[in-house]
Amino acid sequence: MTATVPVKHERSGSALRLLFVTACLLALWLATEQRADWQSAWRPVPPVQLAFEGESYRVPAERVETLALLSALRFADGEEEARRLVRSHLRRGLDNLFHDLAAQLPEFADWYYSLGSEYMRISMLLLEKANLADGDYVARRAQAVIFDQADFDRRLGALRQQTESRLLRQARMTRAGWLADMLEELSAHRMPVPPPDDAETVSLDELLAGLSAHGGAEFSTRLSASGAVAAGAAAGPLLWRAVSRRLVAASSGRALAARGTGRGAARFGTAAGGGMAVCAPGGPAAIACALAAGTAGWLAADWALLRLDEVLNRDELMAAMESGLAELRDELEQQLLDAYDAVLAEQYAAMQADIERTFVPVRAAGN
Amino acid sequence: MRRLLNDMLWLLLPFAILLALNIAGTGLPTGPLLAVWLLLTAVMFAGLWTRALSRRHAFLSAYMHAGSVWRRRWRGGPLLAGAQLVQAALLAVVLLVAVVRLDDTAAWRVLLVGLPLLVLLHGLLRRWMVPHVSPLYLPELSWRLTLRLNFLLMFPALALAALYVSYPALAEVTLKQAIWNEMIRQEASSQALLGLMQVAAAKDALGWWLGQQLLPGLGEPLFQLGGWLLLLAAEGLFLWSYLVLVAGTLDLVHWRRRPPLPTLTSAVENSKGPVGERG
Repeated sequence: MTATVPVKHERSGSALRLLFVTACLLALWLATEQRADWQSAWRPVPPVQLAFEGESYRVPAERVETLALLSALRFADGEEEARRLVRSHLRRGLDNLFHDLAAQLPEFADWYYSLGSEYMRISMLLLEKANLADGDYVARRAQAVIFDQADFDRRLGALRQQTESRLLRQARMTRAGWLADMLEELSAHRMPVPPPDDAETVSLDELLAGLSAHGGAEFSTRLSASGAVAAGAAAGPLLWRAVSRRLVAASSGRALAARGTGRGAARFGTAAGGGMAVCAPGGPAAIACALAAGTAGWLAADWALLRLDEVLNRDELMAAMESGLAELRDELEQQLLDAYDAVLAEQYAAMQADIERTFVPVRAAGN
Repeated sequence: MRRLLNDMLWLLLPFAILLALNIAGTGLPTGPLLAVWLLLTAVMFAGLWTRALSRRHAFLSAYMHAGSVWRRRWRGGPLLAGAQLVQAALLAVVLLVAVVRLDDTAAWRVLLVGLPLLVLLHGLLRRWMVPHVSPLYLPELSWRLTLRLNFLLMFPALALAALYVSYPALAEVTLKQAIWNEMIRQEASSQALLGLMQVAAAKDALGWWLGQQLLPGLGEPLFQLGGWLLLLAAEGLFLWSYLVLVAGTLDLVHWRRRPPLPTLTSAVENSKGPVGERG
């Protein structure tokens, strides 16, 4: 009886042990199945294979982060440099152009205060009333005398072309700088033996091709399609409208508005008085005489009034035109800058997106 | 039965350590890996040393005259211990690197199933050998036979498991390309482990490349045979190191229960007959 108790104990102990061993074996069996999943938590981030200009590179994941950052910074700097370049080039070009336009202003003022101009304005006004001519005659003359004589459209086009070619050169320089950065960073990680064809490789050549496309012909096309092209086309009317605004806004503007009426009354009075006084004893020839004397008086009065107007208002007109030109210049500069900014933002955003697209899968694999 | 179950339980410990090493080994720094290597070396050395001593004792008892001074000189000292230590250290390196790189689940299962097999085989052989073998050399002889039998059973199983693993296609690439690309696929936080893993990867690539050279003509069958033999030898070395670790673990567990070998000098002094007669 006493001997059976330890035997029983031993048997139950062995059964428990057997159960425990079986459970342990089962747990380890399952662990061998889960092993691969658990490994990923411990495994170091694998290096990334990059292909660039016919060479293969094996770069640690953390260096790939640096490459992505360097690329983004290089193109951000490039964009900043491009904007600075546009600003300085446009400022210099527009300064030269508008300096030449300002030199045309005295000629325009001379025309404006000439008898021919006066009668052309009156004629064009009458024709305009009869719907026989387009309005804004003075504006068109301003376009012809100030802008066309200074070759404004062609020079503005040339300025734009220069700016674009400088921007393209800047984009090329940015790419070349990026290329040099990449090659310097990658040189330490070059693979002496090419990887197998089926190896997963990030192609920096594709990235470079994408970046080149963004800075090439596509860029010029986008810029040409922008509103900046038409900026110089209606410069004359724009200027004259600005001048008119200024003159009307100024107190002497009232004189400008009343000038035509005053001159009309003076002409009529001078012509009638002169004709009657000179030709009264003339008999039958008095009518012809009166007409000739009246015309001469009319012209003399007009000339005298124009001279008086010029003496009184020429400086004001010149000042209004100069400030109108300055305003036009600022508007044009802003318009061009806005257009270039929009295109540059689009161009460099596309480049940054390409960089991001290339390196993001690498980062995802690393995480 | 109880003893077998206890042995089985003890053997799960090194397996669990090796599995943990496989899971986390590539992420560990050199320090902890060095500690694991030292532990593996110590356990292997325990088994190798006791068995070497036993073999040396048997050899001296059988071949040396009781009065010979060489019995004392060759009884097993620092030289023998050093040789076993070097062997244990090398096997530990082989095992550590192979275990970290072992990705085949089927092979892991073969290793796991090999444990109860080993315990059962050892128990059976020991019981069968008791009436025939001297108790003095029974532990050594029973382990030698068990390890060899277990090796013979597990090795084909491992080789069979390896047949179902997919290998990179290296028939079209140069040997340099094959070795380089296999080496760079290795990843480990510890530079020391990474270096060892790359050496092992280069060996694998060499074997696969040789095995896949299907060019007709000069040396073709020799190339293939050489490649597969290299891989089989590496597989065999890995399995052997695993079995040495397992046997070393049980040697440590049963350290106190082993019958002590009689000292050879005392055998000389009190020689009434050769020690072998007593063993």
